[in-house]
Amino acid sequence: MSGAQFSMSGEEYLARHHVITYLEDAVSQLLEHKEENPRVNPAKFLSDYFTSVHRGNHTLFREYEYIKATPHNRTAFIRIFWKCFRQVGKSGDLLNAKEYQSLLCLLCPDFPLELVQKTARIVLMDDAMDCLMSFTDFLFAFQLQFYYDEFLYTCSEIYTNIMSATRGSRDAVVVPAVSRSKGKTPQLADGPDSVESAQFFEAVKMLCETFQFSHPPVDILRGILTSAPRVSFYGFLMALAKHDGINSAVGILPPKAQILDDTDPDIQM
Amino acid sequence: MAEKRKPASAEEKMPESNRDFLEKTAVRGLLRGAISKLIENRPEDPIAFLAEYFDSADNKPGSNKVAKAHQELLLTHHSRPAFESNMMLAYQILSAPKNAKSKAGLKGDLFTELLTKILREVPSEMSELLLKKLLCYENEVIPYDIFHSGVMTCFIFLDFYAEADGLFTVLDTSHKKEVDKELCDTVLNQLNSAMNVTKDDPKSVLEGASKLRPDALAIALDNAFGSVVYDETMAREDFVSTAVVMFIAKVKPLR
Repeated sequence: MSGAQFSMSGEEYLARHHVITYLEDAVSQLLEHKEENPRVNPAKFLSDYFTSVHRGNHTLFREYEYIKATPHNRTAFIRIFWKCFRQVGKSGDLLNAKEYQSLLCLLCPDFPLELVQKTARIVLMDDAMDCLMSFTDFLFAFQLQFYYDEFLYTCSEIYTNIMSATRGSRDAVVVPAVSRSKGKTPQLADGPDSVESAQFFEAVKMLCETFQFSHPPVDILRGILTSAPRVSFYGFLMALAKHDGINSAVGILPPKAQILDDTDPDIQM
Repeated sequence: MAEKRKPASAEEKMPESNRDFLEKTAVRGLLRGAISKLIENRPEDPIAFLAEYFDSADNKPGSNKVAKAHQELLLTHHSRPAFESNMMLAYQILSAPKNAKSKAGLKGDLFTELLTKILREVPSEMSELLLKKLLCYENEVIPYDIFHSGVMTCFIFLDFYAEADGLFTVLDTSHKKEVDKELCDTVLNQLNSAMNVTKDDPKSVLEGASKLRPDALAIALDNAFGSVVYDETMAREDFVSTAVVMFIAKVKPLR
């Protein structure tokens, strides 16, 4: 029994678990529902609503605004996407961004293309919209982009600020990132576009201390950003997308090796 | 210009406005109750809590009074201030008259049913021992203070049971599911003397607590190892039931 929830104010407790968000949505759903079923029993409706939120099958066919409203909604949606479309992975088909967006729109009618494009950029390190991606690569990049959307956006701002601040003061000689002896780790800095990892890390660390949205554990960020002296923004994102620790931190998908297995029972959250 | 009044039938056919609907079905009260219960009890999983709350707010006919009272008592830990008001509510639920003719009040049989329900996770031999101490006649009326004592004792017992079980796990460092009997006896003795506190004597409370301090335990264990060590071991059930018996011995019978 942790006592932490008692030492915060009532509002903080409610805000931490997004209670008001869910209650508001529950009531508007109830009002919509009564148009078709005037004899609806409100207590039962609300109970069913919260049961479905608790089990994580509440985001299906809901609008984008709702599915991104809370971390729990985002993970529930990622899970549904995985369950519904892992067949694509099994069949070995490669799809482009637009095709992945159509899949997403089957589950969420107004899912924005912009987010899918951002995801593609993480996988491909490139803006090419026609490039093909495997389901697994897309899934993990999507998880990163969707769950940590606000964090990634703020990091890109930090990155741009550091870039423009240091641009004048150094020569255009690029020191390529030293590849580790293990050989398989991806280069953090690819090409001329990069900043000093340490400086970037310090700024990101400070961000995490006061950031009101979800962010990856600082230890993982430190691990990635101390593995090479320079880092490019997309090198950073790609390292995050492939990191097992990030997957565990979000806690909704099995490890990469088991993504395409279909032996797991439908675990209710 | 006087407006032509809409005929009554047309008014009825007009779709009910949202506000009217919410008022008619007392949704606002429902929500307000839910939020205040949440803030009072601060459950670890508010979403699950709300699912349960709305489910029981849906007044199904024939819902079990004992089940409802038990639910109320599970909302928060017995050490929290909110537990007191939950306890009062539980008492009210159980005391509610069955029908217009019967009087309000909690009868012994319902009380025992509740206590049994609270203790259901504990092996029945142990819970029966405790229930014997808390026994009341079927038809006698249970006043609130007796209710309070009985319920509190059960919840504290649940905690104690969990602690004793956990203590065995700590002692079982090699995961053999059995622990050296000498070790068990020593720890149990310390536990027993720690429980010899009298409520009104603060000194004995402090003495009791100090017996369970790591260094006091270490001294006791040291002494034990100095004496002859029998090659006996004790299993988990034996350890826990011995501890439980000690606890129950300290419980004053309710009547």
